Amino acid sequence: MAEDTRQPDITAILTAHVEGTMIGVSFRSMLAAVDVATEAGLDVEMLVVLDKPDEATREMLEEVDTHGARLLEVSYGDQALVRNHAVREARGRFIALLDGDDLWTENWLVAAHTLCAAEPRTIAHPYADWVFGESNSLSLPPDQTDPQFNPATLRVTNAWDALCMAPREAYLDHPFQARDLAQGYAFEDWLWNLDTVRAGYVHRVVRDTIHFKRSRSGSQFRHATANRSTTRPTPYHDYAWLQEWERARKGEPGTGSSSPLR
Amino acid sequence: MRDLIRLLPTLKKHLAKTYVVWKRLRVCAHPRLYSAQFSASELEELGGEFDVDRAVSHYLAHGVHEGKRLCALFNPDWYLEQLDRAGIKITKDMAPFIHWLAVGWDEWIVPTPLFHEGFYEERYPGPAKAYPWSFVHYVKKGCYEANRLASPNGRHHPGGSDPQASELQAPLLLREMLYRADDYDLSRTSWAEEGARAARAKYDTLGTARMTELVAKAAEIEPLVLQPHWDYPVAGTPPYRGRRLFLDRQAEELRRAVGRVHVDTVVLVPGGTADAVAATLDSLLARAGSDSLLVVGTDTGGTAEESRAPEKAYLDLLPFLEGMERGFRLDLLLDLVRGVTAERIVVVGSELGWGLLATYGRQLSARASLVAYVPSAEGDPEQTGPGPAVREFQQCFAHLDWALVETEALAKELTDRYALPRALAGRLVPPGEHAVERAFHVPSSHQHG
Repeated sequence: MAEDTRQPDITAILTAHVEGTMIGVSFRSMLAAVDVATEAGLDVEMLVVLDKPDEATREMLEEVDTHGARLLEVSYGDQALVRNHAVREARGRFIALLDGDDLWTENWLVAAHTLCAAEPRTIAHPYADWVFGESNSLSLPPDQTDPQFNPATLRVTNAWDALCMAPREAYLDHPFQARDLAQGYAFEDWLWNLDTVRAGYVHRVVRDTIHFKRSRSGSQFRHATANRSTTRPTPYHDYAWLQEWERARKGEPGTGSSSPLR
Repeated sequence: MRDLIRLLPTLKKHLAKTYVVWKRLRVCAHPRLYSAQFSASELEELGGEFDVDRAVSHYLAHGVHEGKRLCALFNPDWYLEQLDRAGIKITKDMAPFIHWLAVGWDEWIVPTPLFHEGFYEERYPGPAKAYPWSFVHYVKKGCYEANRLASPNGRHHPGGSDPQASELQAPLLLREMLYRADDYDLSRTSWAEEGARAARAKYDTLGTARMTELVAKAAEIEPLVLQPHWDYPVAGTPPYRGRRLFLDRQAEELRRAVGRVHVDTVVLVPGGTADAVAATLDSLLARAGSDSLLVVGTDTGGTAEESRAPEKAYLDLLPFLEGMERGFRLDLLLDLVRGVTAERIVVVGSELGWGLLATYGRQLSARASLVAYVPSAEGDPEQTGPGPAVREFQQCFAHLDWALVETEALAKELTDRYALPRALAGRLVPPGEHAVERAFHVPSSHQHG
């Protein structure tokens, strides 16, 4: 049979590690969103990537191909590198990432795709990150086009989760950086947001969508926070770059033509 | 109080409780907010910043007629909206604040978007129950306590405590209310209140029929999403709300205050009089020159003169740290040293500086040479053992390129105490005529840049 060379609209990527039975919940959530997207006429590729899985998780995902998903197994032990690998394997025009213990609302793929397809260099985030499980909170991420949004905020705090939808090239041109907790570097999603904002991508929020994030005591985020990790160094923290950027935004003379946020 | 009687609703029942209203008015007076509604020249004519007594007197005699706002926790437009919901009429000539004190208070109408009754009572059932109406607890106590969240949309202040806040009747959220003060008519609203309104609107969107349906469908897959620990989960809603959002403003103000985009060496000193650090600082200044060096006072405030640093090379960090919890203070200092891409960070007696090295030494040592001055206990009768900074030394030495130790004896003591190998012991530079010069020539133990 000839290989289908048509580019899918979206590649939905589910990454898994040692989630065990819980991965089934996330996979079902992905299937529900893919069903809605397919009904809306979108072509969605499903990729499930196992990174150093335990046996229970591997067993859980043995039959994903029967649902139309492709299963990969890698051995990085690092979420950032797993995502990079998955993106290289993906064929979709847009990439949607889902962690192996989280869920989307079923409309996520359609709604995010509508936004990303309409506006080039757009990165779509859900309206709410709904944290459940061991803690309970809501993060309502900002839309970069909100007049009150201050990009300087990104210097001191992250604004968006990595589990968004973005053009595939956004991930290829700006791959996630590996963690190095021993050296105090983590928060690869924060760094990715800084890199993409610098590169001129616009982070937008998609109304009526939610990303359900399971909170667990052993999560990498909690490890990184307890470890007082920071992002890896980035020009975003450099006063010289910030000054140049500020001038460029104001249209002042003497600014470099390569200033990315003009 | 005579001024107040003229302002009260004319019904007997209101007039009969003039003293009660008077007490409420006093409790709700926030002179910093009131002062902020006057220009500098107007304030000067009026005798300077108001205190509670003067603010109350001036408000009753003048401010109420001019539409000024005395209470940070009273938003006139919000109150009128709530009154309307409650079906309570108010005449046009009635000052909404006075009406609230006399009528709305008894109806338990919360007059500000910055407080959420259900959230507060859920989080603090004890204190809230001590008062018939939980908002009164917040007005009298909670608004001065750093650990109180007033609404699901954040705590509205940068987290640090202020022991004088209660005495001065300066609620902690005033910092945020007065942010971008020029952009708002403070007699009616503020950055904080508009942010809280926007955050509430975003939060309320989650309750629409469409969102409810989507959540229900997700719950069919994972019922746990419907099991909140709280009825009112904390919601971060940047750009208006978020735990660290205040920090970005301070970081930007600090960047502008520094006025330089790069310095070679950042020296962190406690601030104030510099007897203990003067010798080291003098040597560093002689070595680096004031153009490429920035001396930052971190702990006690003070002037360049007190720290014996050149005016143009000195920065008092205290004004930027005011009201912030320690973690945020460290992060602000981190933002500064990263921002100026310092090649060398020298801690000379700065408590916050030691904290920076202990917390972020790993990351900083990859980009800059880290250095510290370690004082001796000699001559200090209150100190025993290897010196006042030994704990900090222990936490940070692994990240240091060298440490300037105050005495030869201290260098030996530290070497023995930690059984330092010769190469590491060589990083302890004892005093001497050219100690700093010599120290700068100690080979770096880290890959910088």
